Amino acid sequence: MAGSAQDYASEVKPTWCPGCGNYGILNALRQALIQVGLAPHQVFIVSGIGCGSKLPDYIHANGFMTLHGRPLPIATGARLANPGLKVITVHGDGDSMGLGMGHFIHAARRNIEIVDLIQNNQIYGLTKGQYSPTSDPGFVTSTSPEGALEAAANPVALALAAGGTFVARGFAGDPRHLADLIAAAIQHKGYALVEILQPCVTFNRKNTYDWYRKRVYQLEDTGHDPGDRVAAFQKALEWEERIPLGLFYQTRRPTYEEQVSVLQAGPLATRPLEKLTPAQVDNLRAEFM
Amino acid sequence: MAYVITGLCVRDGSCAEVCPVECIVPGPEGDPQWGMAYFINPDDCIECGACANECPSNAIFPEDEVPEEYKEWIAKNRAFYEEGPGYSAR
Repeated sequence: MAGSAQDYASEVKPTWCPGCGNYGILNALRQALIQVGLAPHQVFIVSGIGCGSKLPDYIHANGFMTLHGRPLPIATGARLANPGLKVITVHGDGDSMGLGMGHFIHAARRNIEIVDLIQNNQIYGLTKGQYSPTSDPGFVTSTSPEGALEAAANPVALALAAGGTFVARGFAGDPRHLADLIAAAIQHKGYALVEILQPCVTFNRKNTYDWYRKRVYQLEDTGHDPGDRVAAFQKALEWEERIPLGLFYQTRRPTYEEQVSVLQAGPLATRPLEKLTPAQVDNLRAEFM
Repeated sequence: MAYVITGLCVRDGSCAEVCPVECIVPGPEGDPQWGMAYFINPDDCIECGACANECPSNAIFPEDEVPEEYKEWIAKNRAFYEEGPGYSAR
C-alpha cells in the first residue's frame, strides 16, 4: 500500500525561515517516499536537535526527535527491534559531524540499514549563526571572528573511509534530483548516506543558492563509476571550485541485521510474547550465577 | 501546498530572484493571456514562502489562503505551465 502526498501531509506548518533549504529537503523526502511506494506507517523518521531536526513534525509518519547528536543510536535500536520498518535519520551538520560524529562513523562501519540524511548548511542556524564542523576554513561568524581555524569535516569522504556502502550527495535547490537520490538510498541494503548541501538564508551569507548553483555538477553526467571506491574518494575531495553531486559510491556487503542470529526468525517487534516456563527462568538465572 | 501568484502581481520580479528552486517565471511581456503576472509551477514549488515574503504588492498566498476573489489564479498558475509557455518563457 503506497502513500500519497495527502497521506504524508502534516497539519503542522514549518517554522523555518522563508527560502530555507529545509523546504526543498522535506519536499524531496516526501517525493522519494511516494516514489518507492512506502506508506507512512512503514516509515520511522528520527532526528536530533537543530532547525532541520524539526522535520519529523512536518511529515505524517512515525517520528522521534532525540537528543543532539543521537539520532543514529535511536535509529539503530529501532531497526534491530523491527527490521520491517524503514528507518530514516535526518539531522544537520552540527548534529551529525559535531556531537554525533562517532555514531556516524560506526553506523557506516556497521552497515545497518538506515538512510542517513545530513542537512549540511555549514553553520549552526538554530543558535543564530556560529561556525560548525563543516564550515569552510576562514568562514567568519560570531564565534569565529578571525575566520574558522579548522579543516572542514567532509561527510562523503568520512563515510567512504568508514566503509559506507551507499554514499551520495544532493542539493536542496534541486529537489527532483535529491528525491531520486533519497529513493535510491531507501532501496539500498545497508547504511546509506545522503549529504544534502543546504543554504541557510539567514546566517550563512557565503554558501548561498547562487554560490552552489555556480559550482555543482552531477556525477551521472561525467561517466563516474559508482563501483570505484578510489575514484569516489577523489571526487569527495573536490570543493570550492567545482562540487560534485550524485552517487559517489555503492557496493553490497552483508548488513548488520542480516548477520544477527537472533533476528533470523523475524523482527522482534512482531514475534508473539509468550510467558517463560519455570525451567527457562531457572536456566536464565543459572547463566548469571 | 504550493504558493500562488494572484492578480495583485505588479511584475516586480523579486519573487523569481529569491525562489530557491527557480520555479517562478514571468508571463511574456505584452501577451494578452499571460503578460500581466509571474507564475509559480505548483509541481515544483517547495512551499518555502520566500516569494511571498519578498513580494512588494502582497500578491502571493499559500494555496489554502488565497482570497475568494482570486481563487481562479490557483488554476491559472498551473495552466501557465501545462497549457501556456511555462519554463520556455524564462
